[in-house]
Amino acid sequence: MGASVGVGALVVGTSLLLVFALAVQTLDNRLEASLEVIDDAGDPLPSFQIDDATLWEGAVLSVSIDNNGSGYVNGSLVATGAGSGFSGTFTVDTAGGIESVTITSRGNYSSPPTITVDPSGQSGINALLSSDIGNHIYGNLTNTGTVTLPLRQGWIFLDGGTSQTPTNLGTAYIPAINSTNWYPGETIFLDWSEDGPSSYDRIALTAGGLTVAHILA
Amino acid sequence: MADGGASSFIFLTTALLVSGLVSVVLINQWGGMAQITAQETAALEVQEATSVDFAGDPMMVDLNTTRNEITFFLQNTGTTLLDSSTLVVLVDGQTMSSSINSSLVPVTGDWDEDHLLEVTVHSSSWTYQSGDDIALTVIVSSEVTNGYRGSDSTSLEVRLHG
Repeated sequence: MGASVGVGALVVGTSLLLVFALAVQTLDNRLEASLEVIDDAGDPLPSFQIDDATLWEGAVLSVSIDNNGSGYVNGSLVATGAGSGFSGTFTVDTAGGIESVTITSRGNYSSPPTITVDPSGQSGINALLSSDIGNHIYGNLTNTGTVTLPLRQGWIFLDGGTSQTPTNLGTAYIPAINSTNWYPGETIFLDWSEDGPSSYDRIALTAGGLTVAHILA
Repeated sequence: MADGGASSFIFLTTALLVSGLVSVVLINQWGGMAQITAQETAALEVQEATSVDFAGDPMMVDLNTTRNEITFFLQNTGTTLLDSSTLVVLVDGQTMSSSINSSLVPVTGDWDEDHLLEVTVHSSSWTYQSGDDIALTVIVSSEVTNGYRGSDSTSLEVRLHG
C-alpha cells in the first residue's frame, strides 16, 4: 500500500516537473523573442546631412596622351580655353616621353581646354594631349547620428535617379584610408565624376531608410 | 477493516489513474504550446528582419507622361532577402497589379541590403503632370526564411518630376 502511494507520488511528481520544464522553456522562448523585438525597436536610426554640393558641368574629367613626345622631364600641365581652374602634373619615361598624367584640379570649362606642358624648365618636343570635360560633383557629407553606416548601403541619386542610375556611395567616394564605413561625426568629401548626358538640379543621399537631399550649386 | 482497506486501494488506484491521465493531457498541451510558440518566434524573427523603404529624392520621382509611367526606387533596409515578385504598389490608393516592372541596381545578385530595386509602374488612365503629388504605398514580402515569410510596407507622398 505504502509502496503504491510512493510510486504514484513519483509518477505525478515527475509529470509535474516535466510540465514545469516545458512551461519554463515556452516562457523563455517567448521572452527571448520579445526582448529581440524590443532590442530592434530600440536601435538608433541613422542621421546624416549633405553639408554642401556643387556641380561643375565643365570639369576636366580626363586628359589623354595622344603623343608622348620626347625630351621632357617630370613637370606640370597648363590649360587654355574658355574657363579656368585646371592644374595637373605628368611623369615621363626614360626617353622623356610623357608617360602618365595626374589631374590635381579639374577646373570648369565650357568646352574641352587645350592641355599643354608648362614650358618652364622643359626642352621636350611633340607631346600632344587632349581633354574631356563633363559633370563633376564636389560635396561634403556628415554623419550626424550615432550609427556607423557601411558605405555600400548608401546611394546617391541625381534628379530622382532615372536619367542617371543611382550610384553607390562606396564607389562615388574613395576614402583616403581604406575604410568601408562612415562613422558618426565623420565628414566625407565627395569627389565624383559623373559624365552623364545632362545637367542636374538636386542630389539626394539614401541610406538605412533615411533620405536627405540638397540643391546642386 | 478489510472493506476499508479495499476501498482505500480503489481510491488510490483511481487517483493514480486520474492523475496520470491529467499529467498526459498537461504534457501534451504544453508540448503543443511550446511548439506553437517556437513557430511564432521563428515567424516573428523573420518579420522583424523584413524591412523596405523608399530610396531617392521624394521630390523628384520620375514621371514619363508619354508612356504614363512612374519610376522610383526601393531599398532593402532589413536583414532578410526581399522577393521582388511579391511587390504590390498602390498609387493614390489604386493597386497596380499587372503593370509593375522591376529590376535590381546593380543588376546582378539578390535584393539584399546592398541592392536597390528600380520599380516602374504604368497605367494608361493616369493624367498626372510634372509637379503633382501622389501617395505611394509599397508592400513587399521577404524570401522564405526558415520556412516563413515576413512582410513590410512603406507609404509616403512624393512629387512627380518629368
